Amino acid sequence: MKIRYQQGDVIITKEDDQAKFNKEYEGYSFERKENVKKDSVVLALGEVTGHSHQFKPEETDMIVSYHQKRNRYDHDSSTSMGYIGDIEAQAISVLDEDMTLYHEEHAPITIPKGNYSIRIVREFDHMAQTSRRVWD
Amino acid sequence: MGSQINYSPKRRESFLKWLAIAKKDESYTMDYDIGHRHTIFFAIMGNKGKAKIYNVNKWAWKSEPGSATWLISKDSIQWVSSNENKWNYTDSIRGFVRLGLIPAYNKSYVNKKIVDKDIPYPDNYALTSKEIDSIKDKSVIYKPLDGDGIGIRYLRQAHLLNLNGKEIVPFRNMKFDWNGNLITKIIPAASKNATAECFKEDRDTKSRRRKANAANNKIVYKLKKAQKNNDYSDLKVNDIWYLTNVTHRTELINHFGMENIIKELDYYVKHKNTINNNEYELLSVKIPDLTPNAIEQEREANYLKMTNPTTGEIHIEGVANFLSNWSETDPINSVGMALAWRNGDTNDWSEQDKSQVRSYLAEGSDIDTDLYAIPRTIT
Repeated sequence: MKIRYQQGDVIITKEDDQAKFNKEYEGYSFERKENVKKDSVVLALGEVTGHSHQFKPEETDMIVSYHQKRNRYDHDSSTSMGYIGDIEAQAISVLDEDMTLYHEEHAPITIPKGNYSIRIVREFDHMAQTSRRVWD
Repeated sequence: MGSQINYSPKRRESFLKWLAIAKKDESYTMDYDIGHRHTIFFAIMGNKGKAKIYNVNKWAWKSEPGSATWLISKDSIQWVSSNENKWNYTDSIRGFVRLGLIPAYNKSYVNKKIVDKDIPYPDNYALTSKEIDSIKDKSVIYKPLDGDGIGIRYLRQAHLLNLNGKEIVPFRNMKFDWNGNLITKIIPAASKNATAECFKEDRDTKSRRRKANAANNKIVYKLKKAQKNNDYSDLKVNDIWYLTNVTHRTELINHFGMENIIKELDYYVKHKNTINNNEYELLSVKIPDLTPNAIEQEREANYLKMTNPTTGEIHIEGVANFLSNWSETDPINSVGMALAWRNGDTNDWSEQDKSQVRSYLAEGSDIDTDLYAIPRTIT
């Protein structure tokens, strides 16, 4: 069964198969560009609150974050913040034991060493009849 | 949603040249990537200068190409696919259009041949009007084939092929020329009706979204005003359903108080469950129906009520009514199913998994944890 951690709307799923993980995130960028807080690894940003799910700067040298490479056609009209794929990590590799993920409105959670895929939960907008990621 | 066409004059020229000189049984190969899908088209010359095109792609469950999808000559292009289901369009039609043999309809491109300076657009990229405005030297911009061309866009019901400005749902044996003009004189009623349905569905979707956005903006405005003046008298309980942002929604829930909201709403609890010591309730709430020409004023909608384990705040988030909202199959009737949908796990369910889910629900129990991975920690 999948090993999973959840902090609010962020789901962190352990990926045990190293080869599959490497293949899945092969084309992703390892660099963190345009981070709001330069040295932190951000998993999700808050649209209204400005809060974010992130690892503290002192721990980030033990975390590799994977970001989808942006091409010039990319845009994200679902948020007033524009394209944020280069800020939010789509996967992480935790290189040391027990890194801590923080958020202003959720208790910190400890993430053990390993590779993880990141997913933001979705919700259904019954008025617009469409599903989209949850924004806070 | 429209598809980008990377027009390739060199490929067009080379392929047309091959069509003119190829002998029977000679072949020509072209390929194109759509997302992660790699598609190969290969043409085999037949009799009377007509080549049959077969396509195979990486994700096809059949490794062999099956029957031909296009019949091509120097004068015409004919879609001859025997499989007219809408996913086949994706492989054979969208892929073919995106090969770039014919430019995008009425679009402009940068002619790199006459440019001696660096223009930041590839020569096969159809420029948007904003990009055209940003290029100072207009002489580098040109419209291939005097603006003639094709396009393809996906609407919820089908792919629509744009043949020189005329959009239709593709039909078997339709024929067009190398400028994108439809040669077939009589369009079958099935295609006409499907096209009309597509446009209607598109109009309805846009209208629904427009109304939903307008309603959201209106309530957000009222909410901000209420926060500023500390006067919430202008807001009603039902306004909660129009808000698209969870923080805004939670703020309103906090203001009214869950107990008061529950009292005012027309709803029932479909299912409740405790997972990781957190209580969840799947609610079926009657909400206003914004569907154009809606017969009923209200309709039922699934919402998941949950508590933030850290702050104790109550959250309500929309959950789809069905696993497949298009076909309205497999209603979401349990907390486990709702959470699995929320987490995106249901996308990975096989038909066997779905059948297992139906059995669990028929027995009155929630889904098994094999189908919904419960987090070790939730905060």
